[in-house]
Amino acid sequence: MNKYDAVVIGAGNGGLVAAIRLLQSGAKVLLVERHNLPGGFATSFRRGRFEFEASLHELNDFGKDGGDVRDLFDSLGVTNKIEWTSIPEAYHVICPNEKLDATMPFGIKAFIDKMEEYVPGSRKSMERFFALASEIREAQAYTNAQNGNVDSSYMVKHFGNYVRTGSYSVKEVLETLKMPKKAQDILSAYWCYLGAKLSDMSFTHYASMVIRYIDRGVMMPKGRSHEISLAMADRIYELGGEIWFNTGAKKILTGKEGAVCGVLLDDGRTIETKHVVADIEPTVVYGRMMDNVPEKIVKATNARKLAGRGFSIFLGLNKSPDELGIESHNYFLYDTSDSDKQYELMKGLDNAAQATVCLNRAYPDCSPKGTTIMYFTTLYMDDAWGKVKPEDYYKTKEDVARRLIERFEEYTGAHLMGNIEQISIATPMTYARYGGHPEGGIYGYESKYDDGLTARLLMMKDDKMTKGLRFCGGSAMRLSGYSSAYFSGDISGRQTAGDIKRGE
Amino acid sequence: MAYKFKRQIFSFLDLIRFTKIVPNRKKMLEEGSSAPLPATDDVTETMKVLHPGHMKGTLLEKKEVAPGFYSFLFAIDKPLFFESGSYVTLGHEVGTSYVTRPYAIASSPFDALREKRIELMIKKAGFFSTYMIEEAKVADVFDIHGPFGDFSHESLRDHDDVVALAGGSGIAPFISMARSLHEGSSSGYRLHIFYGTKTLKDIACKDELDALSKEPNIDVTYVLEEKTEGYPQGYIDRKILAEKAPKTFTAFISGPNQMIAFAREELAALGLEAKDIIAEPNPIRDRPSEGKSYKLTVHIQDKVYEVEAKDTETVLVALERAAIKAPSACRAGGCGYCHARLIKGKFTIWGGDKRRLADAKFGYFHPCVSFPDSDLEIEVPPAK
Ligand SMILES: Cc1cc2nc3c(=O)[nH]c(=O)nc-3n(C[C@H](O)[C@H](O)[C@H](O)COP(=O)(O)OP(=O)(O)OC[C@H]3O[C@@H](n4cnc5c(N)ncnc54)[C@H](O)[C@@H]3O)c2cc1C
Ligand code: FES
Repeated sequence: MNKYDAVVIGAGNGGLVAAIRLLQSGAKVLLVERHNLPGGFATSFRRGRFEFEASLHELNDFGKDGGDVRDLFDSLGVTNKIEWTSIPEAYHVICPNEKLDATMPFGIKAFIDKMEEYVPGSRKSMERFFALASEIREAQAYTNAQNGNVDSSYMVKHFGNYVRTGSYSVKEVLETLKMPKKAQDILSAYWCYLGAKLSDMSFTHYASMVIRYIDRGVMMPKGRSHEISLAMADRIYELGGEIWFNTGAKKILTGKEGAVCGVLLDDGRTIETKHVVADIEPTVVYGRMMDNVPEKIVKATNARKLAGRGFSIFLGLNKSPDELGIESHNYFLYDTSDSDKQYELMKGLDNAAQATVCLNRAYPDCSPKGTTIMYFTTLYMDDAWGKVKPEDYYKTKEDVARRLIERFEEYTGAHLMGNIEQISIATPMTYARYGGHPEGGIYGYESKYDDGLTARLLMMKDDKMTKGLRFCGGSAMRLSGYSSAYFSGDISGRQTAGDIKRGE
Repeated sequence: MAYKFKRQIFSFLDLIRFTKIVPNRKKMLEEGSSAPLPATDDVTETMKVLHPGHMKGTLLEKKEVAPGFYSFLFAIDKPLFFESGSYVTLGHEVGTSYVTRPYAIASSPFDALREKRIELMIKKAGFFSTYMIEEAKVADVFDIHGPFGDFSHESLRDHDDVVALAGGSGIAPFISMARSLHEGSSSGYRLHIFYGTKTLKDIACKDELDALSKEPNIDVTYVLEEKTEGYPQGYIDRKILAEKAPKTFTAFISGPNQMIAFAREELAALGLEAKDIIAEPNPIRDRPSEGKSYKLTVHIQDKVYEVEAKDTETVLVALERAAIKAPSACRAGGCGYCHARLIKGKFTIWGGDKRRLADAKFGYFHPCVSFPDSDLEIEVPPAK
């Protein structure tokens, strides 16, 4: 029988990092992945003369001279395996109903200056916002390094603002800062990346993301996120690890006192191990992959709210961005800047709010001369796609895609229809298929008030409810998104290495 | 002086609120429902009908629809709803090998969904097709996998008029499209089929196609190589298209390689943009070569195999010949389904390099279109 110190289930962003961390600690590790590629959402696909990025808009906190994610990649030994390219501007937010049209730069100073231009009188509140955000990011780095075992008096002394803002929503803090309404609207444009409304989303989570984008440098790999995933796989092979593709884990087996004792694979083989790191939602692990789950865990898992379900369109166009009339790299298009209202609108199939990227505006050579690559993404805040019958599926997805593209044309004046050479549409069904995500969710659990970043970081110990089982990925303690998923793999990988050393 | 955040009148109240974060979340988790966790959900269940993946197909009926061209009707063990133009792979043991081949689905989407049946049409071409035609028997069970492909009408990309150019066995996906328009499982475009064969009797399913062409959104033109009373003679060329096709259209081409190449030229001459020409490449066949043979070392999970690889055959065929179940779908380099890792050795890709950028950089390749040029050591994921 096969025996490993640890089995990592799922080679998504979290699982890849966890496997590297475990291997670096000297453990014997098997990484199993149901798909035939590493990366999970972090992948790419080809259609004709285009190679589409499956999910990454940009990797934040990755500055030329440091950044938490770059530091992590350095210590994993993967940074130099990847060819990086930088991103021109932060984002372009448009909401014609409220006459909002702003393009924001990277860099705190430039960002504040630009905001002052759009919203005179916003400067002081913006400076305060960034002061809070910096402190929050530092506090998180500290929590990460301590594996969540933080000393609260140290926290209050060194990261007082982190503690004082820690219980508030984005909305509450921005109001306290007396930030003008329009500046709040522009600043909060990223909210749909996290998928919770601002009255619900914890401020620390939002602020830490904004500063990672605006201040800490933003890059993306030329070979799409697939290049990162293959670089990590390469590192795993270098360190003597094994990756079994096309190999799903069916069950996590438990023995005495409910502790992990093995993994049953789809092909019927059993792998013996005492430690599993699952890059999978607890809802799936406890709901589909384990028997005799204690009631406490069932309740705690049922209590959580799934975050947005994904929908994306990938376009390869046969004209250049100039010819099509596309100005920016990264657009946010909203019906309303009131995220509470927008959130409600994003429950129905007629939702047309979107985060849209023109890859050539960041990386001009990403497609042949005279062509353009675009991605459109939206989220569904409810299970609207669950009601779509198989026989209506193709028509529904084309209707939704048409609405999103027409919305983009209407808000920006670009001309896309008639120039589409390649199109691929991913729906919640697609995400359920490739990642096994319940309801086709792409963001794990919602960053709600009660289940926000601070709460999860402080409860890492309590959340380990099965001996020998830790979680990583977009549903774990750092919440969703690329950098969060990488960090969660870092934390759970190192913690599991510690468990192994202690002979747990 | 650094800014100090304060929302409550007294800042210690902000601190007290902070200390409640953990108790609040604990309470929230304790108050969750004790009902069993969901084993599935609606999106996942619908997904399984759209992408059933591996199916068992029991052969119900086999009949010759034109000389050397056979229809195979299978009962599948799961309901399936697909977009016409999709293909599946059909797999079976043949002698000591295990092989799969891609075939377009000829039957209609509702048939697969409601009757759990699919029809494939197979022309005698070589190793596997000969097995199917000569040896497959009713009640035999096959592995059917899919659906796959990007050969369907996309309303956002394509014109409302589709010109379908079929050469020989290439008619299968278009029969499905016509059946789908007829039964109403798809809509929104008009289908103009140009079906080229050698002689009148090589036309498959002629009665049904004639009946379908009475639909307002379907018409069929037969083009015969052999001079035949009442039919245009020759190939499907610019002349006949200019005469019979609508003014603007999207072209779908399906047929042998030479036919696809010829049709592309004719369509370009008519002024079609590249984006309006859709064709799916055929599987890569043998390469004419010196007949050398190499050692192929294959890692699959924790197992290692050593097999022979001939330089006339793709690495995928070498695996299949050795009865190793390796994944494959399109066999033309484009779907990525056979994605494998090169550990050592050299190979040549035929039919164009369709890998992702980073695949080439990190030494991944598509065995279905790669021929060995030296001894090779590779890692292949198991076929499911
Ligand atoms: C999307 C798509 C849809 C298609 N739809 C249709 C359709 O509807 N109808 C249709 O008729 N065709 C269709 N085709 C084409 C069809 O797939 C090919 O005609 C078919 O693959 C030919 O297979 P063959 O084994 O008969 O031919 P071959 O070319 O002989 O088979 C390929 C390989 O088998 C190898 N081989 C020989 N001996 C052995 C052995 N002992 N063990 C293992 N391997 C061996 C050979 O080396 C050769 O390289 C489609 C193709 C695609 C890509
Ligand atoms: S089988 Fe499609 S790329 Fe090889």
